[in-house]
Amino acid sequence: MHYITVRVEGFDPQKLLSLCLKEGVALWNIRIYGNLEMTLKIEAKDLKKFMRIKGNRYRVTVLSEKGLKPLLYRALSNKIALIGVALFIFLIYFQSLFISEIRIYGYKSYTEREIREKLTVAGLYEGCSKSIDFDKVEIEMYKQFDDLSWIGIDLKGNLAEVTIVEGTKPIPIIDKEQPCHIVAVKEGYIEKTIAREGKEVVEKGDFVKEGDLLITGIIPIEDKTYTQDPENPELRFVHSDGEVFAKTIYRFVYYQEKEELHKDLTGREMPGFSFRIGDFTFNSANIFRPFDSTIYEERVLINSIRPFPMEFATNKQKEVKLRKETKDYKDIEKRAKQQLREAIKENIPESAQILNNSLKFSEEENIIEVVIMVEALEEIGKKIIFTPAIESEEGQSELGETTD
Amino acid sequence: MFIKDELIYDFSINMPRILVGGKTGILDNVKKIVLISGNNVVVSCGRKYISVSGRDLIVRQLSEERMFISGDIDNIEFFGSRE
Repeated sequence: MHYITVRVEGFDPQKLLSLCLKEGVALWNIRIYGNLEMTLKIEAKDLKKFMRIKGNRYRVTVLSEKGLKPLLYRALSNKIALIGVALFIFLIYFQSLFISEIRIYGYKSYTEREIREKLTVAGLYEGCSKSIDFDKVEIEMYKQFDDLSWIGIDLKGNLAEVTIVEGTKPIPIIDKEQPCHIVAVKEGYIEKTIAREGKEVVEKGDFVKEGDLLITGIIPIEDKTYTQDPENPELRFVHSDGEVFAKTIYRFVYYQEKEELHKDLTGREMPGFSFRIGDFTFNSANIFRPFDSTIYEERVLINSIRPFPMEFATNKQKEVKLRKETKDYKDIEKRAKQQLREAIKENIPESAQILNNSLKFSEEENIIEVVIMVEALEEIGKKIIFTPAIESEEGQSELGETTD
Repeated sequence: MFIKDELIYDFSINMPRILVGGKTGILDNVKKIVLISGNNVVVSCGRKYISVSGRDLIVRQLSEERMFISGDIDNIEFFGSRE
């Protein structure tokens, strides 16, 4: 809409208003100043009609114009502002042509840095054009990572979200013709040996160390038809195959604090706010610290990366009173059992069978030492390929490629 | 109100009709403005007249036989010949 505010000067303003009413000219905000002057607002399209109605009896002065049309006229008449707006729009458009941020999800064994480096080689990096072929990047990533099960690149504005799914490590192809031994990968007491190929060299109850031979791939040929040289027996080299189970012992040491720290809320709190624009951050909680001990709670209200990284959050510093309480035995035991479960999960392979475990507590000045012993039954055999020629000549194995 | 009275009210196009609430007054069937100032507005509705007096009166809108007045309204009077 386009409105014009005018000042009308002349005798009998009511006559002019009556005429406008009769002619269907809509008027707004009629203010009367004395007997001779009034101001009113009129639609631009009615101005011509209004001027005809008022004739020569009244003097009309335009005071101001408001609405979309005059705003556009004003904006278009300012060349410098126009250039500025055009430049701004161009900059916004230009920066939208590039990828400003890459987020990577789903990695486990690889580090984010490794993946970023490979993505850069594949052509996806912060600052690259958005028009690059993502299929090519994905194919390149599959080439660079052998155990990559799936990779997906999702573009959200200027943000590229890369989701990867890591697969299991590729199983090395074992040459079944190549002779090999089976050796221990860790120490333990032999429980069961199943030799499908090769000859067992350990018995149940034997203690073996890492690297000890469990199933040998060298089998002497016992031929009773011909006499053999006892110093140089005829040997046969086989690709050993089988499973060797052993009881392994794991020992973990954990520490617990004797006293537990409790935080009791006093009910007093200090509200604040924080914001981050680009690299600049401000947090009122860093300046105003009215309490000695507090719990800090933050609630993010705005978090955007476009057109520039920005975050706004409100926070609360809640005053707490610290109280130390000595733990009772039940709590210590409960925590120790939790530590035991964590230790098993982190250090013992999933395929291992837990046979027994024990906890031992010893008190020191301020801490409690928890010694966890776990007995597990697991397979400890690992194939080691050897070269028969060297083996037969030198009588010891030449360690070559190892396979699980 | 009976239907007859309601119909008369609705179709009385030459009779004054005013709705006042708070600092706002809406005058209907306005045919002519007789007198207008910051303290007094007198309009003709055909057969009768309405006078609205008060302080700082502003006509917010004037169109299609309707006048929208705002300000401190103190007094409303009706003038005209007895029928």
